[in-house]
Amino acid sequence: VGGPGEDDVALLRRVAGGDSVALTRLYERYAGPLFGYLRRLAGDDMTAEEILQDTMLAVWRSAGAFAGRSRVSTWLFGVARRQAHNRLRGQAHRRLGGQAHARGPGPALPDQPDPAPGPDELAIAAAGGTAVAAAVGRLPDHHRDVVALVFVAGLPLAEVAELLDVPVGTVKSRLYHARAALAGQLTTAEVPE
Amino acid sequence: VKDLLPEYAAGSLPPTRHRAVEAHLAGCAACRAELASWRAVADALRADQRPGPAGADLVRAALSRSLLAEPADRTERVSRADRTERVSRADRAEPERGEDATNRAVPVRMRRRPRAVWDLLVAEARLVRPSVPVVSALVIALGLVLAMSQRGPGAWAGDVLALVAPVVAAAGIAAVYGSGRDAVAELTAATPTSPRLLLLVRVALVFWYDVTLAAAATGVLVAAGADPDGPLTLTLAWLGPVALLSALSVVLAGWFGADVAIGLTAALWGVRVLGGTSYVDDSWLSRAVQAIWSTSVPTVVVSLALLAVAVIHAVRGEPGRRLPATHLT
Repeated sequence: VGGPGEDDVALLRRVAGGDSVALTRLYERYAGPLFGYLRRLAGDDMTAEEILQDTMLAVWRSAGAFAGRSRVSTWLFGVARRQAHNRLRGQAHRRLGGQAHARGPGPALPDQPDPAPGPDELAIAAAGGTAVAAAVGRLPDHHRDVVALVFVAGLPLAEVAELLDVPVGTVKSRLYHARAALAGQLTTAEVPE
Repeated sequence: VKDLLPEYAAGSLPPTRHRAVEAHLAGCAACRAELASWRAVADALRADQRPGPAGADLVRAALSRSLLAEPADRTERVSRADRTERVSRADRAEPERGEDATNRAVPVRMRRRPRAVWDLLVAEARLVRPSVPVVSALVIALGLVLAMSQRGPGAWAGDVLALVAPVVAAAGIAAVYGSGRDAVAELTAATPTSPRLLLLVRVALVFWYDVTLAAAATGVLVAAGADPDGPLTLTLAWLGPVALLSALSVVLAGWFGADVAIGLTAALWGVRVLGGTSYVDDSWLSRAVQAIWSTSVPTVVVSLALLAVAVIHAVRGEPGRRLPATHLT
């Protein structure tokens, strides 16, 4: 996933200088993983694409603020994650009639896994998604986030830890928890080797 | 090795470690079983993967939204827009750099304040039509020649200057800010700078110029010994009337336009000049007129009040007319 690190930095520098071609190149380099990650967070393609636009707009505006302390991929997925939280927080707020606001800062979507597949997951399944993918959609936010960052975004655990600002051990434990929660679906939806 | 298996399944291990894990897996059944469960997750998610939207389309959509969202910020004044942009940049996308960017923005703004006032003065000075200072200087020079030619026991030199200077200042100020007199009225109406500030800056510029001219003329008179009075008395003879007539001119220009302002101030000043001649009897009325047109505290207060009225009145409207032709609600 991604090109050589130095090329990313050079691209981002060109973006900071107002080069929209460089922005397109940078996007194309991460399009699949970024879109996949946002689909996991958002639950549907339309919202994911809106957040993807938010993300590229935020990258366009703040490319100059990239300090080079982290890898471009970490920074990029961090931007996407924040944009997703901004947009999804607003949606959750509307959907829950203002109750989400009382949860305070941080992930505002319900933390408990839904026992039954919701409309979003059913839509994914209808569009040809797998049962495991739908089950991932029912994971609690922080577990789904880690699974998506590791398996969809394809980030190394160290980068995921840096992005989430938690120790690598926490990332691992969330992964194991997520796998345990998915175990039921995994056995029924076993992929042929 | 067990801890590396998720990354191995995701394919995000660097090549050397990937090969090392591969070698280990060949001889470790427990790890192979562990890997199978991670593979199941990874493969299921990979099977559900969609290609992202086309790059050119997505970037075009994102950037056109940036253009649509921007104008709200752009109409702010320069320093404020600069600050909000920096803050929103820091706020929106870059969590760790937020404080740095905000801290940097504040001194930038402080540094720009005096600089902005100076830039505004220079810019407005360029907008004053050259005829205004040239004609003002010529009329003052003419008055000076007239004053210097008054050599006799009466010594009228100072009085001649005091009669010429106010009308020059009033006409110059009226010409600089009247509806229909501004060559770039359309442009200034569209700038974010307040029209009140523009009026103040222009009045200050012209007033400063005319006072300097009159002061220079006074200096010439004193140096030439054309008037027995000292420089202070000579200056006070024109300073109050210049201020009052200029302030009146600003108000009239704002309300009725430059032509009316020039005409009315000239007429008012004409009455004052007549009041000092033998054509008018020395009544209480003529004495009152003389008192009004003098350098005194009330004169200064009234001048400032008139200027304040003009500044408050100077609101943004459609250039060239007082009432808007269209109602934007």
